[in-house]
Amino acid sequence: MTLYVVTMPSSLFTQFKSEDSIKKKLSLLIRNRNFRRFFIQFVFGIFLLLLFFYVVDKALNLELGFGHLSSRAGFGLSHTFIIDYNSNDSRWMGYFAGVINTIRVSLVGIVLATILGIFMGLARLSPNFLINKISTGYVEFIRNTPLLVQIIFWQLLLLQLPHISKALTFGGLSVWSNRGIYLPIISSNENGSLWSLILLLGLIISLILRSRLFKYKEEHVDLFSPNLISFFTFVVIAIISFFALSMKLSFNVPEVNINQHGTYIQSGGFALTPQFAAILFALVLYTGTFITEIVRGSIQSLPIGQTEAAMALGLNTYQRITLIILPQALRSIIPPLTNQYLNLTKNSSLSVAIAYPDLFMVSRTIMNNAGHALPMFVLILITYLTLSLIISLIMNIINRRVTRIGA
Amino acid sequence: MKKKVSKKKISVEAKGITKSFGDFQALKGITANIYEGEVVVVLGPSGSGKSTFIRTINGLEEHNSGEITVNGIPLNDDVKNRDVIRGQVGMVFQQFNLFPHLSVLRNITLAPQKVKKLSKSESEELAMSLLERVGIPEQAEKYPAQLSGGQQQRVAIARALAMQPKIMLFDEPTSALDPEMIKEVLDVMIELAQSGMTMICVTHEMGFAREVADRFLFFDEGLIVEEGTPDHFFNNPQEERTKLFLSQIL
Repeated sequence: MTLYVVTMPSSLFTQFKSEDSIKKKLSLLIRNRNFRRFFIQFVFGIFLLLLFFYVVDKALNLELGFGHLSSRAGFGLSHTFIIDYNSNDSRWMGYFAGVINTIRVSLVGIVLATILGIFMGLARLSPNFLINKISTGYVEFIRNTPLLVQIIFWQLLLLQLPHISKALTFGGLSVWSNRGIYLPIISSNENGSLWSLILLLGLIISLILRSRLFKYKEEHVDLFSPNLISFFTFVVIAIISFFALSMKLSFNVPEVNINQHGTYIQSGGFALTPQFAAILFALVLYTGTFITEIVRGSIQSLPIGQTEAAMALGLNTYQRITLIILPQALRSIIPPLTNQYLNLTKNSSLSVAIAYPDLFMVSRTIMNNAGHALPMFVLILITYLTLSLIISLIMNIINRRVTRIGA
Repeated sequence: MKKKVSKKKISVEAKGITKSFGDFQALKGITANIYEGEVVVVLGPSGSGKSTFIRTINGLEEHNSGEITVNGIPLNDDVKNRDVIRGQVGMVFQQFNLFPHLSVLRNITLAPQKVKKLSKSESEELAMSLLERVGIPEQAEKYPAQLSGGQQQRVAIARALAMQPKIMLFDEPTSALDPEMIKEVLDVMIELAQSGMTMICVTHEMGFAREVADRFLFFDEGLIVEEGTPDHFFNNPQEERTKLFLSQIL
């Protein structure tokens, strides 16, 4: 398609003869298609320009400053992650705590929804009756009910857990009450962060070793399992550094105690609050249904001959899926999958319904306290836009990798 | 050049095979023996069950009743047996079914590496010798979409041969090809037949059939209506249905 830029075509005037009447010249001009293209764009361009100046003029009269965000927040947050926030910090800090809560639930949600979606998508294609029907039931039930309702439902369900005084403890391993689900974690002495760094290094080393070994195994087929060799390498690194640093590990088990005033005190463990759990479960389950359908559709759109050829060559089910089906299906999975990641991130703003302090919830608190609704909304929109663009960017890079021929 | 077929050793033994797709009965009791080194051409009108029959031999279609034995191994619910049979039976499809995301070389080396645990260099050596055999070694690094139909089908034959099968199944291998590419694929198949491979071919290429077939099986409505040598079929067919079919395609 040719794009006609707004320039007056010079050829327009060559068709006019000086002896023609004005009327003749005008009618020739109006019938000329180059003139028409130019004229329509010219008029529309003027209109847009006027609209732009009008909006800018009005906007300059509005108060769009963010100065109030530097003042003391004065409100606490039920959930903070990574950054330490309290009510004496600025509203900016509160806002960032909200952004981090949004990122946290979105990131964990995206990972879990993807895993769920791939498994359920494969399950929907399974000839196994039970697996197939479980997947179908999951999709039909969750996809066809509103997300907001599901979020509130999960919170209600989690609040049905017993009062802290009668918390389920599963033999003292964890504490399940209407305050949340507290799971045991491993904690360590002061060398803990150094040791985790060494573990991370060990993990990277063993992963590199694993890929090198697989490469080596292509030539030396008798080589013992690269997976096991690299796993043992990791374990050896972990054990040696453990004793070298004289690490002391303890099992941090959540506990319930009663203080002198008779109040129940919850301590230790890893907390999954009803709010976080509800928004996470709902987002994962809901988005998971759409990913399930994307995975199923992409696999079904591949010619059946691909599976048959792989079967005829003697490849087993796992090899067929990982070597033949998924690499081809991924090409049509990634673009709609990106949409689902964006949806999940944007839908996390429904946290406001159950008071999980995501960026929208925190912004509303700030607006309630300090007003300035319009600038706050501009800030909220820009933040979501930025998050979405980052997701799109990452997914585009991944898409380019998988669509590369022979990837 | 015709080779001698020893009628001693049975490669594929089918006894009373039936197969239904819903209400439609595609196979109504097929009994046939295919001997080692034999080239059998399966003929018949469309919908007569000939493709379904050869697809039951490597278990791509599950037969409803009857017994199939391949090189003495029964094709039953034993998963191990099915794997062994698929390793011994190569198949070439009408639509080639090459893996479009893999290079020609990788298409051929994939199964030997993953199933037969050949090393990379062994399997690549094998693949190159097979590409020489089908006449397109220079295409090794290309992708299937960059090849012509005839070249793709020759790669598909090489891919099947890379598993060093004892039996080759051909399901209308030239039906999706442009006319000028049919010969290059048939030449490969003729060479393969003359090398002593046991072959079962569903095809309408009568020139090819006349040249290499040891035996014809004529299918109609899910049954073998007539079987015999090419001589018998071309000069002295017995059944009316066979005569009608041959009069239409010759």
